Amino acid sequence: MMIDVLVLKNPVLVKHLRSRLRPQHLIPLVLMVVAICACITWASMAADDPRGGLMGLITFQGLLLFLVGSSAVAAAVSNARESGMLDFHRISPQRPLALSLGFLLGAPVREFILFACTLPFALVLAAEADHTLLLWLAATVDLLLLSPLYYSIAILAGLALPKRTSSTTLTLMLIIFLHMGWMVQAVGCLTIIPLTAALATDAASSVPLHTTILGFPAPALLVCLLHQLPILVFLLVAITRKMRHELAYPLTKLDAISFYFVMALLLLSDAPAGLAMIGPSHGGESPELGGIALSYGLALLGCLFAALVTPDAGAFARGVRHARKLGFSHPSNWEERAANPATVAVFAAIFLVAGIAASSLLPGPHAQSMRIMTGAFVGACAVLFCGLAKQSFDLVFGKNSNSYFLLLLFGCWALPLIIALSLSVVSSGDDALVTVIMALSPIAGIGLAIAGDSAYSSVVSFAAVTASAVLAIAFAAFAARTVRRATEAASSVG
Amino acid sequence: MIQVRELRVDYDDVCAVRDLSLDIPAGEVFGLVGPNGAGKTTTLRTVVGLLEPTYGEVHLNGLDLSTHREEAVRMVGFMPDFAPVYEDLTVWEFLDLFAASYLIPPDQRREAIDKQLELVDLTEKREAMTATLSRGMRQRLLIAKTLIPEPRIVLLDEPAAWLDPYGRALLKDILRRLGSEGKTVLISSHVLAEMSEFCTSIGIMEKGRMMVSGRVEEVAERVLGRAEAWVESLGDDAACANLLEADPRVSSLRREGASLVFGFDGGPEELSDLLRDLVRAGVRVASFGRRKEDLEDVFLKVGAKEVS
Repeated sequence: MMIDVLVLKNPVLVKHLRSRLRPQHLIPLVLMVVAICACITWASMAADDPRGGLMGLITFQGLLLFLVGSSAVAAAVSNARESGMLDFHRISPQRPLALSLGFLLGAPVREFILFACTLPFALVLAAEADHTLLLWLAATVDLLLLSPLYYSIAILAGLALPKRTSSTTLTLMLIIFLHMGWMVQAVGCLTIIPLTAALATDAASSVPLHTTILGFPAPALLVCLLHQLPILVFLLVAITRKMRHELAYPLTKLDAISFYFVMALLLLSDAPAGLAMIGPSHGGESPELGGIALSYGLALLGCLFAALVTPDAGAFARGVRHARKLGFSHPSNWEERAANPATVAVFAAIFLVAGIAASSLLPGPHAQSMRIMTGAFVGACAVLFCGLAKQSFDLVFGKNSNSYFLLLLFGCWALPLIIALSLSVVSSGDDALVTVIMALSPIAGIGLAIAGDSAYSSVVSFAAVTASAVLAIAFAAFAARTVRRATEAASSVG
Repeated sequence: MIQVRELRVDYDDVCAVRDLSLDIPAGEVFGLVGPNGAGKTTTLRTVVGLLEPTYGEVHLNGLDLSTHREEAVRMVGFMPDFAPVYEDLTVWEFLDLFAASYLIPPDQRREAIDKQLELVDLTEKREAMTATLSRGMRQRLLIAKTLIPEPRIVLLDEPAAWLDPYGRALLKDILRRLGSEGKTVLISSHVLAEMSEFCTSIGIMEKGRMMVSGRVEEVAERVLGRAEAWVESLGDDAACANLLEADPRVSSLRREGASLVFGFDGGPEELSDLLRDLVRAGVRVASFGRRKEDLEDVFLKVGAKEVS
């Protein structure tokens, strides 16, 4: 019954089936795809290299489903939003989840048909090549399961970004960026590369590739799914919220905390695998790499999530006025329009706990565990600083806040790196000073604190910890003051 | 019916709607008038649930929008001030999309679509792509889309903006019919002359506040003073003027061209009695009537300056 309402009788899906499958548009594309696939198949058979041909076909399928499909989804959502059609859907009795699925499955329907046209050729090549059928099946399943993940990103971008071009560009850049960082297991699991690369390298095996999770061996496809599904669920939550209301935040503060927690668990589970998902380096040969991947991943996500849950000055004032009307002095810390310090503090706490867990989970001497914890502390302070500074600047500078915030980040995070780089060019030889200055920025500080094993590593760690902690404490005080003042200002204006 | 209580909507530093309260009973065609930036569109978008208010309550047929949004908006047909359509659909596909969205059973959709296409006179364009429609036709298509779920509350933002005279006449008929069917209609518009033809009640907004609201005649009387009437007689009108001056309900008698214009303190029946008395007294009345309340005068008198 539910599937009936959400998918089979979904009006938005039907709309896309009608508009995107008109024969005059579809047939020429089908002919082109069939011609390309026929050429690849014929050439690889003639060259007696069906495995190479199969790799080519999978790449073509990936281009169709990931890049062309995601562009179609982002464009469909952006167009509907910019034109005002989405508002019509928002006030219809259709559930936001049904609308989301309508775009998710409907907008790329043409690409699904084109993908289906490539399957017979891929099957022929997989049957021709030795021991590749199971691997090909795993890769195809992964290809199909990854598509909704990328389409969800495209929908969210279309719902959140101001212009169609920016949503399409951001989605495509993100997909390409993920594929470039596939060596990190947590990132690689969000791409098709680990499974397709196995097709090229694992010639002797017909068994799908294995990797490790929490240090235990597991089928690569399963590990990929374990990463993709939770992210897909949270993306659908965010999309559903934005589908319901244009000005809604993609995630509530509690959603964001849950999402961050899940991401911390995933990164933690991948830490023992180190960097390489494929190859002989499984089993924690370089645990500090797992710690570095975890810390940078959590720092990046923490800053991103902190920005996502930060209300701007207008939203904050609306929240205060609404609370006043209900008889409260300010909104609850977990409401959408409340200031972010409590949420950012929870992000930092999750980061620290993940760091402590990683230090005990990863094999290695005590000193190495301490370094991983130090790196996590630097990262947690960076998340705290970034979130609190964003909130403070939004409240103080209003619409100009982004420019000043970027200037602040440049000064605190990029400038030490530039100075250190300049210094290293001018006075070659004084490595200690250069490294200490670099460590003042968490961009380098996290990695240096974890990986530093030089004679002056304690000084480097001290510099990284001190700089991050001072900034976090300073902006905690600043945020408290600005939030108090903004609350008073919003309460007093009629 | 639409009930709005102490509604406030803020955009960043700007208060777009300030403590607005409004009651529009069923069967009323209510016109929201005001200059650009007065808060009309914001009010409509908040009432339909597209904007979240800073505070305040909106009830649609008794349902609180903040707690029963999905049930409440199901009763509403909304047409924005521009005419968005899916340009890759045909006219009937476009209407079918919204018929399905509003859960009209498949076997009833064709009939519902045909009925609305006939209403807005687009039957001939049934199979045409929406991209090929003119601006006015798109506006009519959107009226059909708005009415397809048979909403009990209809919100129209500048509905006549792109319509030609024929389209406006169609719209006027549709609005009259909606009012007579007991539906609640809320229209915002700058075209004041048309609002007096469409609406039974009006509200004039300025800077997010409702300056004055009520039945069109009541608002006009409150703002402009008592109602005015005129009489034009054949031959010497001195006798007519004397008779009028003698009537205690008549005031401010003056000449405007060939007519005698006067303030009249009474309703349509009393005015009819006055006409009978004039004819009985031998005045050869060529034309006689009550001056239609001029919304533009009302609007300007309230203080709004910017009328586009």
